Amino acid sequence: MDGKATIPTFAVVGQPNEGKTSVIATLAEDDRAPIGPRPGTTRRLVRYPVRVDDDEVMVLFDTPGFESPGACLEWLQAYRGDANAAFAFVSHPTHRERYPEECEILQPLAHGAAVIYVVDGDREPRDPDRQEAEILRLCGVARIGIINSKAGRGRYVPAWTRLMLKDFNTLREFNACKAVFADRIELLQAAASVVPNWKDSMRMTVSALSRGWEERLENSAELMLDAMELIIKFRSKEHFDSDAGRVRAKAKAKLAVEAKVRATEQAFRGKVRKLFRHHDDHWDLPPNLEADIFSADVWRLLGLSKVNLVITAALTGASLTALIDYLLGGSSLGLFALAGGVAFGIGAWVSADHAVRFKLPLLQLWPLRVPGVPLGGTYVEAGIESHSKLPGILLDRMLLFILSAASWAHGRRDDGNPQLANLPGPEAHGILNSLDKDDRLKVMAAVEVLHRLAEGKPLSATHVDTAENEFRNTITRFLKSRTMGNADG
Amino acid sequence: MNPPMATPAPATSATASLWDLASLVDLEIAVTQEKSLDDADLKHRDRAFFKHYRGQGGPTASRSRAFRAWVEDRRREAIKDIPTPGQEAEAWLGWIKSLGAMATFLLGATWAWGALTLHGSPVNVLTFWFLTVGIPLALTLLGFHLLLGRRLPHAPQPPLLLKRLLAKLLVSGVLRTEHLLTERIGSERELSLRARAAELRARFSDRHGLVSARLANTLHVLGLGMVLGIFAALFAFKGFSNQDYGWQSDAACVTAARVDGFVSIISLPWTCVLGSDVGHPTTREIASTRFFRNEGVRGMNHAASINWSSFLVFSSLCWGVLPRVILLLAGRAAARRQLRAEDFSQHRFDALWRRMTMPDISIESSGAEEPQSISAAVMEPDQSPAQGSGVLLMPQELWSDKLRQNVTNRLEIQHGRSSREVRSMPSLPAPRAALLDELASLALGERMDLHILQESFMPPVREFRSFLTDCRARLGARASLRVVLIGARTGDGTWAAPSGQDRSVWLDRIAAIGDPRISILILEPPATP
Repeated sequence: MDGKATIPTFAVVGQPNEGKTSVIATLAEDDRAPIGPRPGTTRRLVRYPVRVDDDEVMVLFDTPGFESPGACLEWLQAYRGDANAAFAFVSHPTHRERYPEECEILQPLAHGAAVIYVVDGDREPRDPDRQEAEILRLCGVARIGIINSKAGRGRYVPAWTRLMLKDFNTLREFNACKAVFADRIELLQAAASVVPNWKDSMRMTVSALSRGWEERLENSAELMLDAMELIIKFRSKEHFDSDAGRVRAKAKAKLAVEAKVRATEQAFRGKVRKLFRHHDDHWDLPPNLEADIFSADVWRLLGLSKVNLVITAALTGASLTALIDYLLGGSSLGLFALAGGVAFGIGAWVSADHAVRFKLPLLQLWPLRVPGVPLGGTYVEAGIESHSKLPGILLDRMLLFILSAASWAHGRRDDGNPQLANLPGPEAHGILNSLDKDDRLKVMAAVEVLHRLAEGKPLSATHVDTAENEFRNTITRFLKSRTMGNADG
Repeated sequence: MNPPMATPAPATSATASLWDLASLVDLEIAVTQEKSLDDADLKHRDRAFFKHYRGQGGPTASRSRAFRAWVEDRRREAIKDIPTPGQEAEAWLGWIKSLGAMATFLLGATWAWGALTLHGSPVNVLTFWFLTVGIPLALTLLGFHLLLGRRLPHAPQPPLLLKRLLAKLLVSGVLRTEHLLTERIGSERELSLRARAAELRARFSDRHGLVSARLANTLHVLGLGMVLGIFAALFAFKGFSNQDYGWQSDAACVTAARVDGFVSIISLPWTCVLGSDVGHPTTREIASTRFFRNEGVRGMNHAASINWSSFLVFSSLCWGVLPRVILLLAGRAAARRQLRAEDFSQHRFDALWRRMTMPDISIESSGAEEPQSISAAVMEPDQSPAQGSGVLLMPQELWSDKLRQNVTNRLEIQHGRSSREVRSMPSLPAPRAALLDELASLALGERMDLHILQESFMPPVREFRSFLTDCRARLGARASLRVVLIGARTGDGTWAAPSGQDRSVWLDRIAAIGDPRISILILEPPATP
């Protein structure tokens, strides 16, 4: 069991239709791997090299299921040669024709690959399973047992544990349809321990994968900030020169803002999907993400609650105006901070339910009737209401979507809501409300900065950079805590 | 198997040259443009670049050095002979500077020539010195003042009322212009232009030092053109004109002794180098060249005039041109220092840095295959009549009296099939072959009705299908072979109904054997008491 292969190599083997390809697809993040409900979807050996900077650091092999385990076992039990049993079986002149599946399975084992043996924890172990386990033992390779309870019940996990405990180096439960990044890393870490020669290489691979994941989470936070910036800075402008025209212009400007919000959110989702290597829109989203962002249900359920919104706005306002108290050396007794807090709080209370804010120029020139010379007229400018619930809703939906993309296993092919890792009722309360106060403030402070920039208010580059960095760090930390578990160590 | 993606080794130089404006602009533009491109491709490219850069010994901790080499790499990728945007901007700036310097040269020359000839002879040296040397020197000193990081004094503010009035007038005009502009180009385009302007502003907002250093440098070039123009005019005037020079002041405090002191101080730089009597009038000449307003020239000393003219030329060179050249060089050094101080720690460069420094991880299959298409053969329910010797084969590991009893009962009740004998079926091929020998001896002269119990969730593997074909071969063409399917066991001797998916899989696989006398019986679970 020394692992003759120079780099960690694992062959995923098992009975037909036990979810071997699902395990591979989840480990390799390949949502295009052919997975079917019928046995025999995989008919030949498929190689999945894991490359870090073009260097192959690990190889996974997807294999067909055992089709003649009894015959294979009888042959191996009768074999008395000096050569590696798997190699001898594969090299036999008639086996390629008589036992093509077994030859495909034993091929990587003949070259020193370790085995990841996949079984379904929702069915009882049977004789063919015992035969397969014995075949693997006779091949003399390192063995990792994976109990992949396809239906998610795991009723026969104890029976499988009893069967495999003796002859396998390590045993794990791993649901290929629900595994999140932390589960994948945990499995690879377990695999690292079975062949001492591969330990360093596997540690490097796991570390590279963890860093790669962190990079994705940082990029996700970045995408969130970009999308928020695009939406908050967007202004729709419509000219008008009569009272009737004003109503039309306002409606038109509002529609343009709403369309921009929807389009930006769609573009954001596309980028996140790509970031997490989901090629197709192949999963159903939770209702709060599926529904239109301006729908009443979404507004009721997501975003900061009105109380949280008012508290956050008041604290943000107070922190912004506290500077004046500071400049006055405290002689104002914090009155400016108090006034700022109250003003922002009231603003948030009044405009919480309005998504769009309209702005008219201070000086409005009504049309002058000079024949042939158009004079006067004015315009209405629409943008996102700064104290509205909308930014919070957007953030919530973006976070939920990132978590959906990050936690939807690539080996899963059915439609259904993704398992959101450790999310305390995300659909009911949104994520922002579940953040602690400090983190919530940091996130909303960045949103406030974006609003102020959009309104052309002067802000120092350092202030903007600090707020944006706080936002990114907070979001990245949150996503790490939800998707990486202990894998970030 | 897909070959690994070939990445051409970038021809990077770890010792790429220092930052200049063109490279900085190119970096900013590339970072902005690449924001919308495919991240995976960029990641691959930038990581390959960084590995090569690191391999050549480039300092990996410095963003500045790595980005500079990266810009060079991008330039090598660009189409040859087509300047990059940064190079274009630099070239334009160079042209603007050259044309500006020429313009200010002409302006300075005209200014000096005009001042010399405007009032005719004699030229009042004191006034003329102030206009052609004093003012440029003051501006140069202001340049040094700013270069040393000092701020300009606050300009006086206009009264509030005036400001408001002006603002109102401006707002009215701006609104109307804006309206016309929007009508002309459309509101979307206008907003897009505004966004671009804001983007540009943001790019420079964190580089005030660099922007002002470059701007100051441009102003220094223009200033140098001006003082060179003045110097050239003075030099030419000295050579081609016979105009008299003298000095005049209405102020009582301006005496010949004071003017002499002033001249001595001003001429100190060149007298130290060239000799004490070079390039300035003597004390006696100064006293003799004083003239009074509206009294014209009376016995003006011509030799003294020539010395005054030399004094002006030397003054212009020493106090006009030289300080300006020093300021220009110092300004350039300051701009270079600003460029070198750029650490690119701004957030917008984080993505590029991450792409370079984070390992590129890829996991790709060596060739995915299409899912196997299986013809959904649907078999007719088995209508063949019950035959003579019914034998039920039960997998050895499922063997239990209760299950045997329940299965035989259900076979009889549900399908009208009786089993005269129930046998245990081993799972390995060799004992199965022995069992088959026994069955063959039973089947001699009879039409055997063989039922083989299987759990539907176990896949109909090749080994089992081979067993069926062996049965056919050994038992003869008249034997009926029936696979009896039950679902997962639910208790002692009971089972669940086989799932639709499992039934369909078994039907397909058994149909694929192509033997019409092999069929499937689905055994529903016994009714629970």
